[in-house]
Amino acid sequence: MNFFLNSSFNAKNSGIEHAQLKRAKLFEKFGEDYRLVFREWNPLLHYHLNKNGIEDKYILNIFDYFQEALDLEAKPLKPKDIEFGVDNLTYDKDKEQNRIIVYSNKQIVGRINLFDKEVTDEDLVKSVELFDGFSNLYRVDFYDYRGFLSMAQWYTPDNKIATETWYTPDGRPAVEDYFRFNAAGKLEKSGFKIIRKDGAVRTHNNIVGVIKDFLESINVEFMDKNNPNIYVMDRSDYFEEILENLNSPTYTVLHLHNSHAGDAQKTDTSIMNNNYEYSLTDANRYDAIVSATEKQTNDVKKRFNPAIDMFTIPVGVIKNEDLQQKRVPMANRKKHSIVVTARVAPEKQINKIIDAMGMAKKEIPDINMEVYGYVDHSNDDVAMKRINASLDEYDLRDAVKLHEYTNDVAAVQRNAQIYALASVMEGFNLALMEAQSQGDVGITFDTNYGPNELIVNDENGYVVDYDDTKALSDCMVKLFSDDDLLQSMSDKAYELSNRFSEDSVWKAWEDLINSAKKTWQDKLKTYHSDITQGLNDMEHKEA
Amino acid sequence: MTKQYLFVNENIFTFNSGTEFSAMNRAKLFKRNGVDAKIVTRNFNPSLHQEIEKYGIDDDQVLNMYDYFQNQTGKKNHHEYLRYSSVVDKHDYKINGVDNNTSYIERLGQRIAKVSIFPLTIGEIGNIEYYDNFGNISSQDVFDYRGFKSKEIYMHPAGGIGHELVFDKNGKVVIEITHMNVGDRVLPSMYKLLDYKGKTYRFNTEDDLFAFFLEEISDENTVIINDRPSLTPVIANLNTDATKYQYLHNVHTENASQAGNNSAVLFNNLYPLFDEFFGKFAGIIVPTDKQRKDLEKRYPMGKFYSIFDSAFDLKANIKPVNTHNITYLGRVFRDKNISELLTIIPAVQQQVPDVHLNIMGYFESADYKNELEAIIKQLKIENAVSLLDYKIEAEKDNILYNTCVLVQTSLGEGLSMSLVEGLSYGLPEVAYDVNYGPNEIIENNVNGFLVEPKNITSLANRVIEILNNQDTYDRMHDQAITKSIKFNPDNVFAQWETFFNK
Repeated sequence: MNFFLNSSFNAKNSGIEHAQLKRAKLFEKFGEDYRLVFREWNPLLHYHLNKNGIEDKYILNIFDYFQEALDLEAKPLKPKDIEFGVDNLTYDKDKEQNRIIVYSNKQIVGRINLFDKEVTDEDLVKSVELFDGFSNLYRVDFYDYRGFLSMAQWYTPDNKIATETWYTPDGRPAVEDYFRFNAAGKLEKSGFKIIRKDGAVRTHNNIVGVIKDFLESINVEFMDKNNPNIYVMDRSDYFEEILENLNSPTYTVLHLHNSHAGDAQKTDTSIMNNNYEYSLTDANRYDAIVSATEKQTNDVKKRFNPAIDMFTIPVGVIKNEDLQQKRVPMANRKKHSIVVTARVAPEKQINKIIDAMGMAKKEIPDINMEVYGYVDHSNDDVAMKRINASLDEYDLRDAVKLHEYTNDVAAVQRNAQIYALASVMEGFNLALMEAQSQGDVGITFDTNYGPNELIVNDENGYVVDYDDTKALSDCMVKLFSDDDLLQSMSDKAYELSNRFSEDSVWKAWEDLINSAKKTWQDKLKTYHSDITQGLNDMEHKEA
Repeated sequence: MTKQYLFVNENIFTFNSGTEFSAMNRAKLFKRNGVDAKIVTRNFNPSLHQEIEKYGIDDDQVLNMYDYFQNQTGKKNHHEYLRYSSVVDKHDYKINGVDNNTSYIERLGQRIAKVSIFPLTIGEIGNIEYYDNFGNISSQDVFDYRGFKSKEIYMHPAGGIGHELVFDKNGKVVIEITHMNVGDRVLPSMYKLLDYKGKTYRFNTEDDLFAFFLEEISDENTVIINDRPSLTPVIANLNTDATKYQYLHNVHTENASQAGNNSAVLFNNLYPLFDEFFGKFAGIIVPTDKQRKDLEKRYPMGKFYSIFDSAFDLKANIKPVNTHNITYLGRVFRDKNISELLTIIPAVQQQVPDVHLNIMGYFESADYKNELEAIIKQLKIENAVSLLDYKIEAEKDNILYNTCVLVQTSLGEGLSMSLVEGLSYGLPEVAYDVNYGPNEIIENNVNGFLVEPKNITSLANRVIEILNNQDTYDRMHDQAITKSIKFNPDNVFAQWETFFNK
């Protein structure tokens, strides 16, 4: 089985989740089974994944697993479905807080909180605060969107959480954790307990033990002598410490989704990217490393000289129907237009693209740009502050339009001529790949990793020295003052998109799977499953 | 329709009083006569089915509230041996046996749980305390004698019970109990019944849940006999078509000698019955005619019945003894006036140097036991007195078969089951002539002596008289056997038949 490991999946996700979705669809297309594994409890996990076209049978959440709630028919609960066990109920809707307060004979018995309006317009139960007959808040119940009580927080008389219990859909406690005072007198999570269907109880000091239990179990459950259990650590937190010493064999893959070096301009020497520090240090304890670009593969080999296999597998996949769609000539697009579809975040340096436009404006007076993406307001809104400063400096407020978000990225990319990037660091940049598949000509700084490989200099666009805004500006002028050049580079953008066709990306995965299959046979030679015979009570007789 | 009788009690304990003995005795008597009856108990008790086994009560003769909602009313058919339990995955965990009662579960040198073996079993799980990361007890699994996990108790961070979950056999939660603020104390604040016949019910107290339970199991063909005054309000307020009776197992007044006085102060726990809920009961059953008459005089509107509250077959192979053992059998509680009994021993020793007093029963408290031990020391009768604690069945038989005189200094009784039981061993008996019972059981100078209450000189002399006089002993021994017929199951059941046919 192929397991893709992650933490969670929500309404807004980062590139790693998008990469997983694309891979999932690719595996489905080529008939290779897989599971998306998530380690965080999330009552909306199936809702969000279903919305993104992932069926329940492919979703393997650790809590779901212990809760025996992997594949259920969704029946979201309505407020009146909640039973309080007392009569004469009245329901007071509190519109502002999106909740319903329930009374019995004027005494509060519960507060029903509803799923957010972004999730559903219907009144569906998200959580219920429960009160006893003496008006103590004794527990808060959290419901899975699929319609069962998933987790209950039990309160202390002084209104703190004492115990959390996760239930199976038919009401059996399956996972518990506790809050206790630590040596410093602070209330902290003090342990977990897992209770299996057969009554087996396992305790753990923290969530890592729970994850290990899970991995030990599924690895045996899915054990197959012909098909290796391949674990792709897309987010390696916790998994990286467990998979290196599981009781049964695994084929473990560290998937890099970003630069391995903290400073993407000094990949040979700079301090390691903290996200990969542990897993790269221990990489030889795994079986393979995947990076999304040849350039990164080479840099990782050069720097760490790992003994394990490395594979370059693009994280982006362009569907055949998209590759075969009708091309839109440059003349039919908005003239002298640039598009950016990315989070408006400091590391994207969109202000530098605006600076480059400003410098090009003298020669291309109608140069214009549309930006689509959520604004990252972190660091005191530094990204927007910088953008506004550049807009003012070059008087480009009319030429640059900032949009919150678009549901049809392809359409806006199809109507633009240039896709511009000035990022500090990238893992691949799916947006650029998609823009190129729409015939956009890419221009970028020499940014690791992705932009400087997706864009082949002088073929489907230009890669200029890192942070050379003037050079980026020159590229804009050059492309917008030569229609033939612009069109030929656009043609090339369409052509080179075949690098990311389903067939070619699948070929890369196939190489990895085939390599794993070979290694698997060696691993199985030294693996012996646990003894199961002779352990049961054979002497006591029962009626 | 035939009637079903439900005998309502709090529990069958490890140490039981006359109230529980009476209910068990009655259950056996009814069964023997083909009358459908069950002892119904309220308390959660993992040992219940073990306890009743000791007394020869079958699993279908008791119906516990929790068992009922857990759907676990059957008999024991599984032994959950720790060493073979699926609770412990021995691929990863080690069982470290400390002694016959305790084992630790350990992994990589860390103690993760402590298992207490179920009392009086060999290696079966009683309960498991789980430790958290900081060494606290985070929760406790409570196993039933019948070999299943019955309840999990969770702790508050500050210590003390947080909440409890009661399970059915699939591990599904059927009852939740919370411990939260009730006034200014942390007490059980909720009993919630989950998915019972498809519905959820929330109760504020265990008694409210008990009332619901009793309503569920009763109908117009049910006769409820409540043995416990503490449960009188619960039974009185039941919304049921069942017929309800209260059985009193003790004298009704604080001062037993005043029991015939219409204005004497009642025991505190009887005021609800007589002042508030009198009309809710079809009648009140008492053990003796005398008590019935006293109550009829005091409450002319009431319906009272008298039925002995215990019945015993004559024991097999009773032989006269030549020991000088005297025995007190019953609760060792302050109201039984045990200290007074001790004070006669030095006097008896003057005439019967080898007299030996057995005190057989469970103690009110460790303090009370210490108090009695101090008196024994002060009287220098350490070698003449044995504090035997609670004994039943063969151990009890062994003591009583070797007893010469059964003694009792209690100042008030309902019937005195111990004296009734003593007859079945052919024991001459010496007791204070108090309300009610001793004078129903002892015919003075026939099968023993009735002594004026608190007259310890007379008490000592009567005991000496039997111990030192073989003829008296033989006569009284024979008469005890004769007297026992009055309380044998056939005769007691005849009283019940009169009651059924009224």
